[in-house]
Amino acid sequence: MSAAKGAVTGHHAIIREWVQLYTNGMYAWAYHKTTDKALAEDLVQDTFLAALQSFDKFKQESQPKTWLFSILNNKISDHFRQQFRHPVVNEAEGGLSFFFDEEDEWRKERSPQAWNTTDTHILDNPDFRKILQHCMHLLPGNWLAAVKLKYLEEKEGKDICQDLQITPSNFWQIMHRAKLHLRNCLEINWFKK
Amino acid sequence: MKRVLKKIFLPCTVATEMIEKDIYFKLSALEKLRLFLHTGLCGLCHRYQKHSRLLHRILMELHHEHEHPQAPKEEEQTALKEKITNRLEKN
Repeated sequence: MSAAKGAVTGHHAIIREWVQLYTNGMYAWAYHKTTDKALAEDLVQDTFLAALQSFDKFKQESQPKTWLFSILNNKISDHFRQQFRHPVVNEAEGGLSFFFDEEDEWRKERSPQAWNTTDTHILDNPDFRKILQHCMHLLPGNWLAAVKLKYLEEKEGKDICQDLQITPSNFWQIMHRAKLHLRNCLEINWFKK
Repeated sequence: MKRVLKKIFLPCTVATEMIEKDIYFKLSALEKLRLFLHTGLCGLCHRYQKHSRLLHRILMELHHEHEHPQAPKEEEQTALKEKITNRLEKN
């Protein structure tokens, strides 16, 4: 066996070992970020393939887990960037007229009602989480992608704009529409009950 | 009277948009003042502002917690490991 071939086989063996060790954690993480099982599986698979291809860049002194998760996080962000550029159209009403009348005032039936909570402990409730995910997935693909990118990467507004190649006003208009819908959906499905 | 004042200070569509701008960017002093006056007069936009800020905090927490409340099932994990190992063999 040549030295080069031997090294490649060695890389395979190491990555196979990592698959056994880290797949569970990576899959759970990817699922947590995307709430899509098939997508989470694909992202984890792609991460291991990328790790195999760029194995030479792995510095032996760093932790394999850290390296794999950094690749995975890049893959997750790339996915949402892609989704922003090529959105899947869905049913959500995009116009502001869904919420506001011709005088630019709130439509009574969709105006904000009082909520009985003001803190984020509500996330401890698994039923609320389900509703939140449900409401997020009703958003058009590019809105959801913008929301995910903003909160996943904790970037400043201006950096997100640069990343997505949109103007700041584009960005806050997307967030405005996304939040109007998200707020309304949560109110109907959770806070009003 | 309220209606007139609201027209002068901002329509609700613009006020709610500014509420979002305030979260993700910065408002100018004049924008801040106009928004402050609008939300002082308009209870619905004031409520929207509270909800929007809460949603912002919820989304921040949701994406940065390090626990995995919805761990995948054992058999799914085993199947995935097998799938990945097979794919690695082909590369």
